[in-house]
Amino acid sequence: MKMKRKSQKRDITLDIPSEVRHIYLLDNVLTYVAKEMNFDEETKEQVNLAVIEAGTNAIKHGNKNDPTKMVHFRFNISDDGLTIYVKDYGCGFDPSNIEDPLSPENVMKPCGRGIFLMKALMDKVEFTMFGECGTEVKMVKLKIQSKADNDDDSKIYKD
Amino acid sequence: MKIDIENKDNGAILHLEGKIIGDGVIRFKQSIEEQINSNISWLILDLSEVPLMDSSALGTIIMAFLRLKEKKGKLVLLYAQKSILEILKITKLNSLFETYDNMQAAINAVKIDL
Repeated sequence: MKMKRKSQKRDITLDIPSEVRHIYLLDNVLTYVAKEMNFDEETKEQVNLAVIEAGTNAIKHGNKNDPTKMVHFRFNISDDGLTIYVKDYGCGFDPSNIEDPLSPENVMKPCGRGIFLMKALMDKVEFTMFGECGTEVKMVKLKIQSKADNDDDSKIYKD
Repeated sequence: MKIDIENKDNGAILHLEGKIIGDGVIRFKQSIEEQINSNISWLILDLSEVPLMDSSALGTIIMAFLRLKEKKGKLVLLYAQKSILEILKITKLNSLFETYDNMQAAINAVKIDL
């Protein structure tokens, strides 16, 4: 008889005031989380950059650099993969309105690559808007990559 | 993040150390702007000790590249690590920036085209 191993799950949370200097603290927590996940070096770098992009967006665009507003991070560690939630108190945005930074007219623009990179580096990226109460981005990095689980956007940028 | 600036002839080599993220991007941008405003005509970014940079840091490099290009100058990247090269590839910026893994080759590249 085959026993199905019960998946072990646990959460690590981090709240930071909306100042970009705290991104280095987030980076330290990410190093710990990636170690807990036993990710390989390349996956560590991918998760690291994607979460830093999400955190920087939340601080700058969501909470408008207001240090009285917090950005909340939750890292859900499981045997299957890592799920990260990043929540701010911004007014939200329409993800379908984001321009393609790879198009010839945008490739030389100095901004507009954050969400693109998050989608390119993670297996799944979803946005939830809470009206005036904030925005949450959920990102998933699977422990064993399953391309079938990737959404269409992330597939585009995988080699 | 640490930035050492080596001024040479009519250009500068920026030796960068650490991840260019958070407020490190602000310091990086200030250093680059100071150099460009001081009328240099070329810039080499030594990325040998940079394991990661975010999209704002990439934007700063694009801004510097365009400003130097306007002045008929040049910017190149030196010793970019695999993780940085991968991000340049994903964003297609590898077609914009010249990258070198040899200091003399980078210096020759910025000077020859001037």
